[in-house]
Amino acid sequence: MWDQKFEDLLRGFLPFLGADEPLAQDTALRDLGLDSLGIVELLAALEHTYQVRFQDDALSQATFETPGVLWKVLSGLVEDQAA
Amino acid sequence: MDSTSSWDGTSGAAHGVPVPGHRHDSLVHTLLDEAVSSSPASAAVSDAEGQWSYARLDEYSRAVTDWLAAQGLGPGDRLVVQLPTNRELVAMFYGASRRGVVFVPLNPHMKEYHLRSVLANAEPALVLCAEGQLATFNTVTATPVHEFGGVWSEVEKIADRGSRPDTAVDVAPDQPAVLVYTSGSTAAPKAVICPHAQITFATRSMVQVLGYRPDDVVFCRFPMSWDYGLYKVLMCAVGRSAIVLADAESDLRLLTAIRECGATVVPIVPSLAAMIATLARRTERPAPLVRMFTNTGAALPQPVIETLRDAFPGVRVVRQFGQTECKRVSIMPPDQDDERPDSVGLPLPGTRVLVLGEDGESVPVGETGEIVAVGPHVMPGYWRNPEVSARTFRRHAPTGELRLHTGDFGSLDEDGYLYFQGRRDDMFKRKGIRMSTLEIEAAAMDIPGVRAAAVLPPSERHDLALFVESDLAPHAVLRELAGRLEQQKVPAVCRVLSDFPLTLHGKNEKKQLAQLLDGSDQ
Repeated sequence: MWDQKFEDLLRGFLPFLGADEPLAQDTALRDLGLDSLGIVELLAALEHTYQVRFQDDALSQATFETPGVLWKVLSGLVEDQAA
Repeated sequence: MDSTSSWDGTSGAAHGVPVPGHRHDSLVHTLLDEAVSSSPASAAVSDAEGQWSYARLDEYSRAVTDWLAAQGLGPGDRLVVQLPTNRELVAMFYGASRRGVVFVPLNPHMKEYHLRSVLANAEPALVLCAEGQLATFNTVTATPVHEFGGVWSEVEKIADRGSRPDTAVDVAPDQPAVLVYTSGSTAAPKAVICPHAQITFATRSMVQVLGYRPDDVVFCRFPMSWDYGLYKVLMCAVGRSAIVLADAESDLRLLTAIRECGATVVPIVPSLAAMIATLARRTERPAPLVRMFTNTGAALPQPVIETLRDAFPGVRVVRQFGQTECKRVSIMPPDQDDERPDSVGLPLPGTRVLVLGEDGESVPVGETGEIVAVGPHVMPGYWRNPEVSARTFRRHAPTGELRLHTGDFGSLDEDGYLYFQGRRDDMFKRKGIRMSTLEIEAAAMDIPGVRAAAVLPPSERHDLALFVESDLAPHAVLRELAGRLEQQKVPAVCRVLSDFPLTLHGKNEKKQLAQLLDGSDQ
C-alpha cells in the first residue's frame, strides 16, 4: 500500500471522492474527477514531492488510471533513484 | 477618425487589404478542392494511425459522398456524428459538404441526458456513432444509427473501386454546412446554423491574419465537434498546411508529441496552455519549431504567457476573441502580440465591431457597451429556435444588415482595438468552453434527491461551484452530474445546504452564496 504523502497528494486532485470515503487500489481516477489538466499537474507534483522523473514511456493515460497502478510506477521510480 | 465605438476592420491600417481569394460562392469543399489542385501531394491530415495527403483526403471525401448518396441522404439532410476526431472524420466533413448534407458533429463526451434533446432538435436522417454506442443511441432516437467501423469499411471499398462522380450536387453558399451545438442561455444545447458562405469567409479571414503557410504543421488537440477544431481543419486547407489531430492519449507527452510532429502552430485554450507550461518547466527540450500559439476561450494568465515565451524562444502568443455565432470577432495581429496586453485585437478583416449602449447607439471610444459583430461572418441564427435567434441576431432596420449581439461587454480604443470586459448574464467560459449556470442547475435538478440547486460561475476567488439542497453527499452529487454533463461543466466544488435561499436566481442570493464560499475557502 502507498504512503500517506501519496494519499494526501492524490486526494487533492479527486473532487468526486468524499473525505470519509476510502481510496481503493483499483478505482478509476477519471471517475473521481481527475481530468487532463489534473493529470499533468499531478505528474508535476509527484515529481517534485518524490524527486523523481517519469520517462516518456511512463507518460501514458494508463499510468494514471488507478491509484494502484500509479503508485506501482511511482514507487518503482523511487527505488531506481535509491539504487 | 470616427469618435464613436464602431470599427471597420476593412479600413484598419493592419487590415487594409481585401480578403484574398474570397469568392462569395465559396463552399466548404471548395477549400479542399483548391488545396488538392495546388498541392495534391502535400501532407493534409494526420492522426495517431497515420497521414493522408490532400489527394488521398480528397479520394476518401468523394467516397463518403458516394456512400451518403447510397444511404439516400441528400441536400439539407442532417448527418449526426458522435465520433473521435481523426482523419476519417475530416473526410466525412468534406464528403457531407459535397452532397449538400449538413454535418452535425457532437462532442464524444455528450451524455444521454443531452443527446435526447439534441437529436430531437437536429432531426437527423442518419446518425454515426462510435463502436459500442449503438444501444445508447437506440434508446434516445428512432433515426437509423450506424456504428462507424462498418460504415468506414464500405467507404474504403468505394474509394478502392473509385467513387461515382455524379453523387456530388450543386450546393448554394447560403445553405447550412454545419450545425454546431453549443451551450448557452438555455438548459439544453442549441445549434448555431453555419452556412458555407459564412464558414469559408471566416476561414479565409483568419488565415489572412494568422498567416498559415504551406510549411506549417498545426497541432490540434481540439475535437471537430467544437468549432475551434473544425475551423483548424479548414484553415489548414486554405494555408496548404498540415494538421495533426491529437487526442487525450498525447496529453502527458504533449511536448514530445508537438516536437516529433514538427508542429509550428499550436492552438490553445488557457487550460491546455497551463498543461504545456507545466510540462515545459520539467523539460530542457521543449519544441523549438513552434512559432505561434493562438489562444481563445479566455485570457491567458501572464505567468503562463511568460513560461511559453521562455520555453519557446521567439514564439508569438496570439490573443483571439469570438463566439460560434460568428466564429471570430477579433484577433491581435501576431506581430503585435506584446502590445496592448489587455486587448483582444482588431476586428476580423472584412468585418466590423460595434460597441453599443443600452439605447442601441454606439458609445464613445473607451466606454463600455455590448460588443456587436457585423459582417459576412455573422451566422443566420440558431437551428429551429426563432425566439432566441431573434434576441441574438437582430436585423438593423436602416442598413438591413444582420447584427450579432454577443452579450459580451467591452470597449474599443481610438485605434479600433477591442477590449473584452465580461458578461452580464448567466453565461461564462470554463476550460475554454462556453456554458451557463442555468444549464448546470438544470442538470443538478435532474438528479433524484436534489431539491434545489444554484451555480456560481468561476471568479478570481473561486472555481465553478454548485450549491444544492439535498440529503446526498457533495461528491455524490458531483459524480451524478458527471454522468449528465461534459467534464468541463462539472463544478469543482459542491456544497450541500440545509437552508436554501428562496429565490435561486436573485442577485442578492447569489451574492450570499459567494460570501459563503469565499469565507469558508480562505
